[in-house]
Amino acid sequence: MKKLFLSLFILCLVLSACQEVDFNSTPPVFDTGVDPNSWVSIPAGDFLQGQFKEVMPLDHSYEIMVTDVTNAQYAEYLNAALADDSVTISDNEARGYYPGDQFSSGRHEVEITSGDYIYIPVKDDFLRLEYDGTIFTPIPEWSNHPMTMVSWFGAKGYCEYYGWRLPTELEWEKAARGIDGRAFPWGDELERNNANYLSSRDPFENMASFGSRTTPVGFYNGSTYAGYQTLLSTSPYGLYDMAGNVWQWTANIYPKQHYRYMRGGNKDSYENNLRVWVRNNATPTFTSPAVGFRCVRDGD
Amino acid sequence: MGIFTAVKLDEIFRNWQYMDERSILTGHWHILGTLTATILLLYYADLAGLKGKVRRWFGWLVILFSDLAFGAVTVYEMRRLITSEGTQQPLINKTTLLGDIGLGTLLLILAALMVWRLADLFKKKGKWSSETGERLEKKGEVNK
Repeated sequence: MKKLFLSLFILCLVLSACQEVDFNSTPPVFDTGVDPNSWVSIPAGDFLQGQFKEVMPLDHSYEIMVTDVTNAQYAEYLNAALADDSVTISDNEARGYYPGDQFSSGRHEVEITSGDYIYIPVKDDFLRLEYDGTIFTPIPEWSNHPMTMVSWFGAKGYCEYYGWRLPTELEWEKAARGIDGRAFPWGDELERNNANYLSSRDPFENMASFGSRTTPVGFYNGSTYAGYQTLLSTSPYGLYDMAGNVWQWTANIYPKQHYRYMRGGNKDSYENNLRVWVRNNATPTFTSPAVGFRCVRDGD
Repeated sequence: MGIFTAVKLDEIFRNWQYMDERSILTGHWHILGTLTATILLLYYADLAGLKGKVRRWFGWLVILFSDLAFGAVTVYEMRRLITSEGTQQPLINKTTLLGDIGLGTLLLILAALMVWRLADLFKKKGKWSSETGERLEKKGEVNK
């Protein structure tokens, strides 16, 4: 019995031995050839929505970004917004104004009043931007990766700065799956090299060490990167990364709750959470290394 | 653990994303499952007639390794209290390994018990023969 206790004790010691993990080790750099400034049109019309494929009318057309907003794009926005004071820096946070939500006294609802709210934390190990006190610069290796550590306010602020907006959940889902009710943007089956998800073995992850990391926008385009073959994984409308990589903020504000919703799954999601109808939610001030966004604008 | 989670629901957990909260709930059910299995296993071992040194080894191994699994899964599910989303992987790796060791050993202990009972069935005057008698006797009493 004593030997058993001793063995268990030694096992625990070995497992808990402090091994330094470099969470900010330099990632491989790949140019995907996909332009993050491109948009596609989504026509008006019905589509099959949700897990049970209900016919859902969507009576307007719109345009949506082909990729998530990148670190480079967000840095450019922050610099412009800092220059005209629509974003300010205080308490190590970039903040912007939000007019507040209508409060409906729901159970557990937290009132969101008008005021300045966090867009991004300025000093965070997982922020892929550098701030020298004057301007933001994307860390070069991460510049074409999706912008993360951005709150719902920060995502909304970016889109509205350019006259755009966040997609509603319905707009996001139709853009992701088209009209035929498929489970994933590219079809009904998921292979490891379709998307960046938990243990998908992409060149950016090391599950024995730092875990999973984002992939550059448009990474899963059928190209081969240093021997890693990806599958072309666009949605029917040509959007990239609508499953995996980062959760994407959506616009809806629902009565009796202050939570905001995300779609698409992320780099740490199990396969089932990459299906286009799966939702995640968090407070609008929530920031994460695995949450980003893209914008929409009204169509013709 | 359940009461702690309920009390802290607004204060801590609803500040996290829903997927992390779901991880807690899933982990909680795994823990309950482990505890229930451990209690049933000890009860069955008692009914099966484990005696002496083997009984002590069986009991202590079940308790130790189920506690190991219980502890590891508890830390795993509550990990957001002690580590951030970006730095959680080493903790996940350790707790997953410890949980697997605990559950795996429990399964091995159970398999050993089953093998022992299976071997008993092939003995002419094994435990099964007296147990069969006990059951018939009780059934007879009920029928009276």
